[in-house]
Amino acid sequence: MAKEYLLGTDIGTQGTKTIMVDLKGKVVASAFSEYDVIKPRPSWAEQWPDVWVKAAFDTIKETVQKANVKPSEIAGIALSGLYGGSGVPVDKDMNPIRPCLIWMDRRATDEVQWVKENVDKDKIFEITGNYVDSYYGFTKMMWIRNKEPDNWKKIYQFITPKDYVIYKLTGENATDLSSAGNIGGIFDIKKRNWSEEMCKILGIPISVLPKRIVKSADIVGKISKESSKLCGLLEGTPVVAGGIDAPVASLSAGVLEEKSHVAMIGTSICWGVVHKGQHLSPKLVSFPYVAYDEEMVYTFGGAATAGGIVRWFRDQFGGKEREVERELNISAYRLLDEQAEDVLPGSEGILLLPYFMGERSPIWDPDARGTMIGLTLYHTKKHIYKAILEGVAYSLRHNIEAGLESGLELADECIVVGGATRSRLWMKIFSDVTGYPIKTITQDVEAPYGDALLAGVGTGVLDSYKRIKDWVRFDKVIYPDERAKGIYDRYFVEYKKAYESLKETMKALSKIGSIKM
Amino acid sequence: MLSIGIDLGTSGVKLIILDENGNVLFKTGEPFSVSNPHPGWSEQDPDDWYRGVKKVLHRASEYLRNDVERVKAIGLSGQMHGAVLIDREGNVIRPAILWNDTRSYEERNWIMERVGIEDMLRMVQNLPLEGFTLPKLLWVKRNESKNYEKIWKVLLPKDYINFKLTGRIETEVSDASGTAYFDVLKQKWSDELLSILSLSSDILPEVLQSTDVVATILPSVAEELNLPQDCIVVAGGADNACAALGSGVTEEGMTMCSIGSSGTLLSPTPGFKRDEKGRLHFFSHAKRGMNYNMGVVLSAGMSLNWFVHNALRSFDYKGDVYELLNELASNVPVGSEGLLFYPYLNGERTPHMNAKIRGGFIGLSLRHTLGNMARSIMEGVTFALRDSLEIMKEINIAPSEVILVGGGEKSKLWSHIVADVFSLPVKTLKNNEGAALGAAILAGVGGGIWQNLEEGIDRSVKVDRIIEPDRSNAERYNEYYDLFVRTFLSLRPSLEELFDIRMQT
Repeated sequence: MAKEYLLGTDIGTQGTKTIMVDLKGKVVASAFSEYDVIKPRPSWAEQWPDVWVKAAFDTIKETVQKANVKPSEIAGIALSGLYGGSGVPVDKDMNPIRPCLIWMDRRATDEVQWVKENVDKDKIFEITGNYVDSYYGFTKMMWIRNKEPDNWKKIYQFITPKDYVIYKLTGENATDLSSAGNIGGIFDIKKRNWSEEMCKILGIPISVLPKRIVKSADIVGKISKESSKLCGLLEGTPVVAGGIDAPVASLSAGVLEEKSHVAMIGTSICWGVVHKGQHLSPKLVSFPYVAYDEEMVYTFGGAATAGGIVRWFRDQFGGKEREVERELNISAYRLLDEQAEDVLPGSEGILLLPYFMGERSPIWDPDARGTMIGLTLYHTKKHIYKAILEGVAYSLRHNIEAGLESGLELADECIVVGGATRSRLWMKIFSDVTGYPIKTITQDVEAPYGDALLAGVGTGVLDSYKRIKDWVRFDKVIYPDERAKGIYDRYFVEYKKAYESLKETMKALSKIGSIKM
Repeated sequence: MLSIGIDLGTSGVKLIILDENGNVLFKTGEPFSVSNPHPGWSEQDPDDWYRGVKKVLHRASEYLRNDVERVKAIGLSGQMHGAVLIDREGNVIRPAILWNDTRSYEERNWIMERVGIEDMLRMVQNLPLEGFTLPKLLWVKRNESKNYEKIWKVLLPKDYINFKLTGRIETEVSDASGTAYFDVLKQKWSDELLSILSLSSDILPEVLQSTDVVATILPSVAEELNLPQDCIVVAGGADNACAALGSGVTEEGMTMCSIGSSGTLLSPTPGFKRDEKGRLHFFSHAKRGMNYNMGVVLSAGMSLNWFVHNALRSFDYKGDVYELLNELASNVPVGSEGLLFYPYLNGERTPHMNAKIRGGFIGLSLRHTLGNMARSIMEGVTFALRDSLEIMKEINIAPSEVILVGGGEKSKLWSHIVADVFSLPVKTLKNNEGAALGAAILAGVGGGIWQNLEEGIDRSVKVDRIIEPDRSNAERYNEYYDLFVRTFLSLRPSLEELFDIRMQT
């Protein structure tokens, strides 16, 4: 039987999506499963891995059923995933000991402080290509070691979310270069392997890290007999490693060359650019890219919350919109967009700092907090909503600015992928705020599409990464409006200033706000 | 024997009938609309007021039927500061420019430059805010000179009603205090200031005390409204003074905290104790010989209303949204889990005296819900009121308890927040009729029902609940309040900049 179809599964922060494509890149079927993050305290964010396993198995099964193709026609599957922070701490039997502290979690502030005081900044940057922040997984491992010694004793290894799912599918335990590199701190970006030296300095035994590190297009293992029943794939179907969702999403947008930059805007923003390793910056995050893994580096920056805030707003303020959504099947987001359409740039004086979950680059401040200022009796829901969309766009501009400052060269257009592209209003705002023409992709796919490509390359049914160029179709480019850009330039100055003047207050609020009464 | 108290507010007029034992027998109200012909403008037609007053008085006499003969006196409490311009025939020249109208900011700045802060405080003990009568009068002089030339008298809102009821032109000390051309200490118009600004004192009415009798009601009015021919009208008072009176707050050491649309903290003093920097208003009380210091938070309950009507627009909830928010907010810990709210949704009076500053939330997290936001609004408004309390502490008129009125006291949660943020016991009242009750007490004293205000208060003002502050909450709030104050200093330039950008783009 000819192998005509490929599967890609992306395990996201708030949902998992699986798609099936044919060898020409046509999407045959897809399935999505939504879930939420556990947030026991402000700035904490964790997840039990079984949520991911179930969503992955369910969506794979549903996709295969919907596609109505024979499982024997499926060449293989690859999986990408959210950045799992610490990874899932498992015991010898590969059972989770506690929830995984995901990328969004910012609790490891003491550990970051310790690293800043005890580890030479140049050394850690020289070896790993990254500096330190509670975003990075190695600080979260240290947190578990310091704050939960009983759990620490039981830990056999830390497994990233998608690698945990791959283990459940195949029984094989491995990770890929992008996932390993993203942990930061303990990964040698030049040798493309764990750094024994840094492991010693940071007190993380190398034994808790997966021994087998593969390339994103490598086959990790095959669907096992047990998992076959649960996910609907044939036993023996190859499972390809995949990688971190952001670079896989870049790949899905056809990024194979230097200077191409892509903003993946979903729950958070990952804005990244591909280069040959010459533009590392301690303000940004760098790890091996998911294609040409041995040569290319993916350097990215990103807001900790983007769509996360929009969703928060919908859940808190959009009761009516959600009801209309249920009754008429029109997305609540679209209804909110329509209301905000006629609001002038700058939301008539409201400025939002989107640090609702602390912030990653370029300010790297886990204590940063969301701020909404300039409110008057005149303002209504639509102004607040638009101010949120704008605030997130300022954070993208802030990162692009940091990238340019560190010497990165950027293409003239910015490609945007992710859930946010469904909002043309938001894309227009991104373009007006950043001044870059925005290119979006016609297929509503992103990371799973890149996974499907990796599955094809890994199993050999596709001859080259370059096939992605034939697959991708772009929408009409959105160009910035000069007048709006001029207004946003002024607000952006205030955006940066407001953070500087509020940063001490945010720190104090994060401290007293987290004490349980 | 009965007295009638009428509160002439901005959103409507309210009337109560009070008997000699302090019981409220009847109450009724009639709404008003406000016209906003331009951003920042706020006007009402004084004849709409009078029509509203006649309606509620008519209802009162209908309710009383034969008992109407027992009505001895009518007293009015009124919205302050508004400029009612009338010509020689006693006709209104143009719509009244209200207290919340901010068109006169240029005139305000001009006065500040021309006269200076020090001299303003020396001559009238207050700074000339846009909201006060003086800048409004100068605005008319500069922008509508024809109207200005027609002016025979400038009255305050309730004084226009007194004029319609009795035919007499007068005002009284508590309302005169809000003009910014009344010398509160000397209890007379400031000739010095008027001459500096080239304003004639001929256009100003005679100034009475609040309990003084203006006159007997005009026979034609008595007939039209079916009121007794010998019913008198007392001078009445400014709404804040009357609200304080209706809460029994007339002596030094007592403090009223009112959380209505706006919020006030008001503390009487027999003498001259006041803030030398002019951060608090210093006005005459409705009780002879007493003055009071007052701080004003422009958007108090209004902030919560804004949240419900604007931010949560078309929020779908079958029950009472305010009750829901109160319930949600009650489950949120003190400090709203690290969330601060600034209630400057319309600029702020005390202590900033700044029309450019704006409101905001600081400290938002994805974990926060509507309950956190609702609670932080209540806390932010209360912190803003505490700014006034702190100034009172500075000038040694710190209260040992506060009487909470205005509507905020209906929320159990908000009452507790006030007690905890102020670290003071909070009392709420049974007969919570506010300014209308104060006006009825003034009428009762002027009409001879009671010997003096003390007797009227004693009969009609009763404490309902006493809420003691919780010490550990109070300590926690001290930390938050400290942040609230310090953060504003770093935030202010951003707020002013945003105001300018909005105006320019």
